[in-house]
Amino acid sequence: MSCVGSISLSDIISTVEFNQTGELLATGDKGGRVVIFQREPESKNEPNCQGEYNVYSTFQSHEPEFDYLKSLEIEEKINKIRWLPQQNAAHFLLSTNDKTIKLWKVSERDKRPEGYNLKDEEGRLKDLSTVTSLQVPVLKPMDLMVEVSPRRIFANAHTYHVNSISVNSDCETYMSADDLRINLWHLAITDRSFNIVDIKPANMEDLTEVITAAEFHPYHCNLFVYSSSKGTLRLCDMRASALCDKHSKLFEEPEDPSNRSFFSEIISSISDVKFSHSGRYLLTRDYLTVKVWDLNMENKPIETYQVHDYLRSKLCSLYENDCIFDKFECAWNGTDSVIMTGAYNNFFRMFDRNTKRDVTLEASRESSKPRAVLKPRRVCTGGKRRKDDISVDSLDFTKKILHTAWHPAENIIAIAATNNLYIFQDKVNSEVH
Amino acid sequence: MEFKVEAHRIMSISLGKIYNSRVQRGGIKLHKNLLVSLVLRSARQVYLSDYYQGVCLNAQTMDTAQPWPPGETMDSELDENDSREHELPHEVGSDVRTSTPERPGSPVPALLNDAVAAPQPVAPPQLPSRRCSNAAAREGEANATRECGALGGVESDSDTPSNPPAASFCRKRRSCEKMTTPPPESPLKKIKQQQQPTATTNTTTTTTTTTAAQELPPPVGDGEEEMDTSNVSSLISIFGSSFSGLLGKESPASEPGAEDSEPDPPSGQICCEQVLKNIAPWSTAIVAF
Repeated sequence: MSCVGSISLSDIISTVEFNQTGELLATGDKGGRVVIFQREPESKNEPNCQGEYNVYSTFQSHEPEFDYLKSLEIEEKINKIRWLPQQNAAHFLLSTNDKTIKLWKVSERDKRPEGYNLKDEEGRLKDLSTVTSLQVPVLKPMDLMVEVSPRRIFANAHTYHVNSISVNSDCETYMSADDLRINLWHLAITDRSFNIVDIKPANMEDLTEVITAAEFHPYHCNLFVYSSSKGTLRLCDMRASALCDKHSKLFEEPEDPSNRSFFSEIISSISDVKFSHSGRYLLTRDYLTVKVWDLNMENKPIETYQVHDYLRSKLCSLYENDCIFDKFECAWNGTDSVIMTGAYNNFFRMFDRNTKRDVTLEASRESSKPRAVLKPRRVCTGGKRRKDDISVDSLDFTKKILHTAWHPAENIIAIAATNNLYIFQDKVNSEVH
Repeated sequence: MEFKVEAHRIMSISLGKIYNSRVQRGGIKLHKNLLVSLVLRSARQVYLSDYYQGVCLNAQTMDTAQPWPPGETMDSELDENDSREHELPHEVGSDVRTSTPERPGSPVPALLNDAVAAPQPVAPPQLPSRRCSNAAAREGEANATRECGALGGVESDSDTPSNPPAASFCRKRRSCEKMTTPPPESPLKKIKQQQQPTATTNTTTTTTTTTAAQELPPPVGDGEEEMDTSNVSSLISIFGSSFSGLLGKESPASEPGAEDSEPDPPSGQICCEQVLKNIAPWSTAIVAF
């Protein structure tokens, strides 16, 4: 893995997402801005030169708002970005903060009309007495301009904080999930949405779990999954009923009683769920592990990988400094053979499902000079300590990699480390995977 | 013992988190607060199981036979919100009459006996409208809170008939008094219930280690739906005064529990007075918000 680029943004990155071709990479930040990167086409002169990602467009997606009725401030932080499958020359993406989802159109303009009869080049109206002949305006090339405009605003549908959005494979609908409800929208209709999941109890005293993530199946437009703070996954079929409160499948692993502690419930809360590209498997991330589930087996995951089990004895400290509430994301590679997730100290981990090998890498300025090859890192948990190992106590818990994304086809990964975006590429193994 | 200390520490940390979540930008995060409340519940269970083991034997000696003043009623642990608001006086009264000590020697009601005995119990006929409220606290009436506390109900199912009655409007927190492991959902229930009321509704402050003067949540479904995590001050007040002695890091006699109540009956009264003394800072804190 070598570093292709690193970009420093002005605010903490809160979401990272490749589009379906991998040509575009969008990041959202805490300040409500979206930055889109585009991959440069690989130069024909230098076939070995990897296409780099450069800034394509930047725009302010959400602004801070104030709910006067509830005296609550609504953060402008972008929680999720999801690209729509491309259907014409323009690109569309959905971005959401805690309350409002917006559909943005990203289009290019590289020509402009010149030669108007009634206005001059600056757009000022001409004095009609100076017009002696008529001309037909012609399109002339201009510097590429990327225009972003909000096409739809889907608001006022969520009482609680929106944590996920997911575009359906039918390309017409999408869903948005908050802590207690999931709503289904049509992309063209903003004034109503359908509630498809509602786990709010009649008496809030009885609340025991919340929805933490939700995603549509990659090609079955009737299926979606949502995860809960109790560590369960529910697969729902929209054909079964209008309200999918009753799940079709419930994926849950019984708790290991030997690991019981004050914080068992917190660390079992699922922070992210992703369908595999094949649609056969689910990937979940809880505080200490990533798990792969087979849709056909509900009683336990088929694979469990320890991300940073050395933190298990430090849960109390992590509770005190709030790190135990960090929500890490997870990602599949294009062939579903490798899974990736972030950790602390700017480490991120990759697990090869076939070889069962795993690697820990670090996203940092030092290791990320262009073309620099990443060196595997190791956290030493006592016992033999090798050179360059990091001990658990010297981990920097303020440097956390919560958001990662994997290119849909190639071995290119985008890692968000606080306000820095790192892009790594693995050219050597790209044929292997 | 180690577990107790650890549990105590975790409880205070959890309360701090809930408290701080009120001032967080973006509003209270339901998920995080739910997780924190689960931790709080677990820690409390561990702590109280140690606590009750210590005072269990002495509690029986502290029960005194006191007739229930007429008109005074105690609330009981009920699950229905709206109906309770109106039925309270009657239901509670009957509960008082019929309740028997299910757990002999339950120390908390015993302590409460003394707590409520100390101030003059007031019989408010208009019970639904009278509440120990943050508003009262805001008015700086520490007396009011104490009075409310005196009136605060004790869990009916763990009460003895000899316990002086408390104002019916105060709902008890059942799990607090239970000797054995409380039902998992009850603390959470109370927590969530406390989080429900909006600024316009009254909230109650707890007054003794065991009484949870709780305000009934507003009827669900009237008008625009609230994000039901808004009012945490009442939650803190419950835990605050419940554990006010326990959470005070510097107070030497901070634990109104086992050690004090063991020697002899009067110490129970001392405990309660200490607890009551410690209520004031929490009331003040609540007033500030």
